[in-house]
Amino acid sequence: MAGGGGDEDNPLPINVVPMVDVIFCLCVFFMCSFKFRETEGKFDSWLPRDKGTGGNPDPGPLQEMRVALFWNQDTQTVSRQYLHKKVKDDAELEGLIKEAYTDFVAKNKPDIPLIIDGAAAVPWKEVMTVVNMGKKLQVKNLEFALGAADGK
Amino acid sequence: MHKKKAKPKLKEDISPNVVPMIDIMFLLLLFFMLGADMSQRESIEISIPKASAVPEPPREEDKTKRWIVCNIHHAPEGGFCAINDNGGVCREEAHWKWSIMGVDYPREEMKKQLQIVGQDYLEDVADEKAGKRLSNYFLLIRADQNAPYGHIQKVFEYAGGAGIYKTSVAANKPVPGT
Repeated sequence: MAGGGGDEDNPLPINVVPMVDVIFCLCVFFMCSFKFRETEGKFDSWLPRDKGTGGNPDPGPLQEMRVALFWNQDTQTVSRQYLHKKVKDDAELEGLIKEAYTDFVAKNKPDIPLIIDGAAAVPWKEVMTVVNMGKKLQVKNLEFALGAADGK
Repeated sequence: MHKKKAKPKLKEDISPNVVPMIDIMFLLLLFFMLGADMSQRESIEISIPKASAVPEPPREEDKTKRWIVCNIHHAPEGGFCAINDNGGVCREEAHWKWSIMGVDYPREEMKKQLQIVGQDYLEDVADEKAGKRLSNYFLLIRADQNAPYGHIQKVFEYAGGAGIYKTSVAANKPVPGT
């Protein structure tokens, strides 16, 4: 192989130094440009086909799990509310959703949606935290409450 | 007297054997060349939110679907934003861009784009509930974790208006221990 053996064994010595240099350069290039991909998944969130985005609220009795998210620009923090109850942390919110959903399932109403009603300025990761909670608790229906459509 | 036989001079050969090194270099080169992703990316570099419950997409199934990937990312003019650079949550509307296939579109233009693209590939039969043929495209929304939720809401609204109802939101599975 290249570079191996003495002069006697190899009557035509090949100078491997430039090749090694080039390989080093290529190696450095690929090492620098290499990036391990993060595992990226997605939550399906199909839009209603019949309601449109400005659907009227159901006139029946209020049966929903609604999480409201508010953004405070001064403190750069998010406050959360489950129905009318202010929530301190993730564990409390998860507990409330779990309790409500277990109740609905027991009443044979597993289709009651978990509605995420966030202010427009709320960071997306905060919304995703609630989506993740719903998915972990295997809530069948998750809905995003949308703001008013353009011009309304 | 016999003259002492002169010891033959030892030929010192201290040149290192570079063969194993070259072999390893070749292997490393092969690894990085095969691992490098040179393909044109429709999903740009975004720090998307983490969610432990996110399912990994079944790759084969995904290949048969036609996707529109909409990226919502922070890209201020001149590449500088004091709030974002200092770890804050930027709420400057103009700093948040929406892009498809690496092209940034203003809001109204994105609405038009979704309408045009959505009509490009319709379902075979009309939907009973909607009373028309809806789009067969899947829309993947990849939003930065600090993107204002209002932007995602708007994309949903525009997609709904364009008849694209099969939407998904992207999330990263957190690496264990982080």
